Amino acid sequence: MSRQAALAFVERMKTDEEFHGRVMAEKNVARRLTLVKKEKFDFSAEDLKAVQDELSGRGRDGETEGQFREIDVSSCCNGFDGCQK
Amino acid sequence: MAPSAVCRVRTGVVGCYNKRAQGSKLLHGLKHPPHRSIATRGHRAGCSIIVHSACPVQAASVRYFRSHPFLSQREITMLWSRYNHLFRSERCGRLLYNALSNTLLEVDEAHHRVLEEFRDRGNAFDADAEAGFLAVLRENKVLVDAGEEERLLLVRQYQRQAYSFDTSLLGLAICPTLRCNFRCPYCFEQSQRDGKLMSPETVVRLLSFIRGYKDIRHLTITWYGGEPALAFPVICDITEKIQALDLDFRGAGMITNGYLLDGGKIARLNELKIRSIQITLDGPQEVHDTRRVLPGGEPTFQRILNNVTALMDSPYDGTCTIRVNVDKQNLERYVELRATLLERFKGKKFYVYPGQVHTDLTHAYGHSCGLDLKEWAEFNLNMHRQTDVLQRGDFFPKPGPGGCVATMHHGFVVGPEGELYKCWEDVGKSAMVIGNIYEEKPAPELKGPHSDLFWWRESVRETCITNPELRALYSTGIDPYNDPVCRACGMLPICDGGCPNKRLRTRHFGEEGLEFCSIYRYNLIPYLETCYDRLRTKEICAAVLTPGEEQHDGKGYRVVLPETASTE
Repeated sequence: MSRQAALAFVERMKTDEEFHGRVMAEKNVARRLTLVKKEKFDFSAEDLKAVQDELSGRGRDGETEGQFREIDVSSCCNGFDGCQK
Repeated sequence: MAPSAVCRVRTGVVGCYNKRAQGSKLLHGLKHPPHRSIATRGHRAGCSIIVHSACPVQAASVRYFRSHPFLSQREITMLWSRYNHLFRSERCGRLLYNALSNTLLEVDEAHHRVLEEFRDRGNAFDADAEAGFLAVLRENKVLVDAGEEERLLLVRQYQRQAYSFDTSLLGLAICPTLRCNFRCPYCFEQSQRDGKLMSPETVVRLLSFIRGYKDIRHLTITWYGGEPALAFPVICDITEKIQALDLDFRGAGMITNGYLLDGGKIARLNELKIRSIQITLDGPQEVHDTRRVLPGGEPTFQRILNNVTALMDSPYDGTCTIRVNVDKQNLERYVELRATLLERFKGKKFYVYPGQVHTDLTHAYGHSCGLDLKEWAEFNLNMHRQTDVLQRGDFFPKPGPGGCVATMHHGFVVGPEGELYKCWEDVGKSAMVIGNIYEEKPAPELKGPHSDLFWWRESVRETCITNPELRALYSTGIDPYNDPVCRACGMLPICDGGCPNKRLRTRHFGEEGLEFCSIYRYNLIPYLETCYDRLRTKEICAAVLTPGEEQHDGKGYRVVLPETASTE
């Protein structure tokens, strides 16, 4: 749930310029998160960091982050991708 | 030499004039109907060139003048690249992607208008744009020198060929049998009932064939079939003998349906250097068991899952990847299966990915079941929108020299009777055999001045190739850089020609209904929007978690992807 709340918050930051401005006007991270909580987004700094890490390729399984194997010359294109067996 | 007066020509003749030396005589040029044009000047010798914009003659004419010594550098380095994709996105703002540099730029409205003007004119000659912005556009190949794109494509083609002819490694996909214990409706192989296993004599021949490549640095193997687990003793035998050779055997992968992967086989995987295993599940049990069945129609899901569990609980140190063959029949169930499996094997070297099912027009399963490229892209995008799951390899293009066993000079698929193919999809098709390891003649002792020469070593190995034309077709014959259709395509730098097998069948054998193009050809913008959106999410998280004011460079343009690219 907190991950979803963090993602919902990010979505609002993208689409609501006024909200984005208000949050970023706070110079202190804790005060930003307090403001965010007042807006009914229930997540912690760790939740937000987890989303950031996830998108940086850290934290979730390899496939979701587009893990690329070194192309193996004995393989079909891009690893085993072309084979449907 | 002092510059002479500019000769502004409005006759519609694109050309080079030397007013001082020859009056207003046209030295060389191209006839073209007059329309909006800009003049550029050959300052040093009194040449004036009228370059018509947004017309097909322009590129050719500028290339023509490229060799002219009177043109200044600035005048030939400001053409709008044909690999640019400038677009406005309701969600993401104003973006410009260049496929040649594989760069995504974000710009503000003012810079977007400048870019629109460049695009419409076809160039940025005499542009009233800031130098920093122009430099970024040049650096990222948004603006190019006349002929620069052709030169860069030539480099790409060279890299592709160099990769294909890398003889430092030998890659083999070995089918110890073509027999299969499954009867999947979409399977492209027609040899499931062929009971032959690779014979001990063929194994000896195979070892001799491999020894012929003693000058290679690495050997990689993929065990394939049929179902390779039906010939597990052959795999053990070959591996044992290969490990006794003086070769750097890097390890192997195995494509198996997983049904026969019992404890006894799992226990031997590490010693056989099988580093990766790919197993296919086609959905949750009730879906899988209607598709991947035994010859009598019996279900297979539970036994495969039990085997995967045993594998993941064992000391096996390789990876296990579950491929889910997705088509119109089961696409709704992929996410559910993926979530279940990832939860069950959390913390293990375990991956899941969807694979596109390809059937040709004549396949009994029906071409209509498969997802075409556009539908496949839509499936991936929907999956991401609904669940954050990314398609394999992210959404941002990752260009590089394409290559697989089919295009590699030292890549072969070996059938159970020693027959050689170039592609996995050709297995069992006699017309697609390129040679046989039994055809190999005893290698003469390599002595004398030629013994270290590439062509001499190759001529010895070449004796087993009985259809060199087909092998050549697979690499140089289907080189996309020699294909006029591909050369005209804005995706070539990130596509590199697509699947060689489908390209060959389409271009040379006239087969219809095969899609070998890049997924980006029809879906570039939604994919780029997804990439940008993910980047913005990351940036917002970072900004909120960083004390102090949000950092803006205020230039009104920046390179956003790849993230390591410089903006200046």
